[in-house]
Amino acid sequence: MMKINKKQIDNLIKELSNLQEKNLIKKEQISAIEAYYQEILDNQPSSNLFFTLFAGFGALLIGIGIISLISFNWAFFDKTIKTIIAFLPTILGQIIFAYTLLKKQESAAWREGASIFLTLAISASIAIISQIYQLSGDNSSFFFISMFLSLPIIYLARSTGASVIYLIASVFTWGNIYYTWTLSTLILPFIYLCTKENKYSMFATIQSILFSILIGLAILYGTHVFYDYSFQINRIIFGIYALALFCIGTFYFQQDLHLIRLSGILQLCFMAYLSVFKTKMSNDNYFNKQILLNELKINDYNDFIFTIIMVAIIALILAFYIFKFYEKYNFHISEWVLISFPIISLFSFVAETSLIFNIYFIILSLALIYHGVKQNILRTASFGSFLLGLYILTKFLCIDTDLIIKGIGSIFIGIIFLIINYILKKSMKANKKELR
Amino acid sequence: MKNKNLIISFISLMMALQLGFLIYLIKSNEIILKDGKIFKFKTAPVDPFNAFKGRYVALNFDAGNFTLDKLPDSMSCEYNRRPKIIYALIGNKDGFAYVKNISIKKPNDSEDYLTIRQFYCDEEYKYDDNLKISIETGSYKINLTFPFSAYYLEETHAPKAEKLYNDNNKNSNNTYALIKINKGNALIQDLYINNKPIKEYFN
Repeated sequence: MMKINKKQIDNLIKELSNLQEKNLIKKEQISAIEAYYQEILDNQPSSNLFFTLFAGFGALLIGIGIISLISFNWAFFDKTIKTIIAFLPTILGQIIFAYTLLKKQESAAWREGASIFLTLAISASIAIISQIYQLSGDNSSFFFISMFLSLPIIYLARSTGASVIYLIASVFTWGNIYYTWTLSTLILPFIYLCTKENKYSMFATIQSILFSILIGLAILYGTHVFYDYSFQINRIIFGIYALALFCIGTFYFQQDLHLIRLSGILQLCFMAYLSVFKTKMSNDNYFNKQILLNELKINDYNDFIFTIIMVAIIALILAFYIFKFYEKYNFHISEWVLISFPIISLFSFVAETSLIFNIYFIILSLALIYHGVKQNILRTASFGSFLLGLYILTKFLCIDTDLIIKGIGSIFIGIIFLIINYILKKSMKANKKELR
Repeated sequence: MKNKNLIISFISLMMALQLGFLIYLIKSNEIILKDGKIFKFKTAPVDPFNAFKGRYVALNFDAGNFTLDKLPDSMSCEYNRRPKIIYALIGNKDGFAYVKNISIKKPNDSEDYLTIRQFYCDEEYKYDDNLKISIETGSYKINLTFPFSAYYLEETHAPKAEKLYNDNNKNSNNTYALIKINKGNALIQDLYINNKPIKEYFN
């Protein structure tokens, strides 16, 4: 069952009282609902957020303190003593962790504190051994091995704090995309479990945002060498990534304004906007199949091929979910236009790229305006008219004329843009009245 | 009870994994120290700060910069075509280590070699006084980053170590690192400044 708190119940009762005033429900029903939730609340294991945060923060400070002490690299200790010291943080952390899981498992404060401490302690132990043997290994390997060894801690204690440290540290493995993909795949079930418990909690949002950044960086690093050869391929790859964010926000979090969904929408619109220009990157002539094939023959592109395989897997999962759920979510036309971006991108291999994307961008803007007006959502209508205004302005500024004409034209477009927005708002108000 | 036993087994497994890795890390480095062959590498230290591992003297080696007349087969200097790992065959000349050649294929364990994950290579150009332009010489300039690029010191000692280096910089024959090499892996044993181990300056 989903966790609830007192505030949520109070809000619900307040809302129900409003309904009672309008004689939609009876007072007895409200009392019964209140009693029902109060019982759930009473039976819930106590998880005092304040104590949990303090325990986690305390463990974090102690862990960082130990790392700082180690950084000093005490010269008067000989190798044997340093080796013994190297094991101390981990052994101490393990003892506290084992005690917590066996005796204090119910306490979120103990679990968070012990997990955060052990996660940092392992990194500290590896760092001391690196100092003893003068190892100058790269940061990716250091973060990968420390976080890989910390993974059982997160799952055993179900620690949100340790998982946040894990996600942040995983970002630093971007020098080796296999490390990044491995760490992100291994933490995915845990994030799923956490968000399943309470999708709308602050930690679930932080975890899912950090996770999406991690995957974004892995894709970016895996494909960055190809920017010069084919913007077409990268557009599809990042289109699928942005679409994945959009679908997770829509299907899983089911909130129109969820940060993950919004970031997906903005990324899709940004890519569509970039594709409007006829530059070196979006020019068809620049895409040369032979160059691409030659490049792929070289072993060094394993990273790229691996990234494409991972993105293809994401695309297949997305296609499955879209076909399974599209009826239930009743997508509006503007959402269908957004979803079609990666598919539209496929046409750029066979036809004039910038023309297709110019048409696509205009349709997208109009669909958003239509969506906003039809369903009385001002932000959607304004966003659509903003995109349209941006498009017209960009096209106008690209025309080869002098600055005075460009200036007057920009002001003119700006005024038209404001008028359209005003008309939109008016018509939406009228719609509202009609509905009443 | 059954649940508790399961938790104990998982915790034990996790502890074994974590401690096992730390022991493995120590053991693998002890093998290099025990079986490795020793080489002297001329150095050029500087002094940055690594927040995770403390204060160290960053090392650069003369042996890492050299010119090759010909690259190994199928190797290219182009950024996108460069292999990720190469092997540097190490030899001894006048008491100091030098790179005899580089290879894409892993050499036999009987040979002294280093595994290199970071390197730079470029075509060599020479300025022609008559034509007033730079012309390719046909050779390649190679720069290798050796896997022993840092020497860790106590935080308060590092600035002094840097000063010591600067004072002794002119006579670089006296500034070198002792490196143990075993099957492509390497460890710094000691850093010598003016023919004296750096630690002795702080005793």
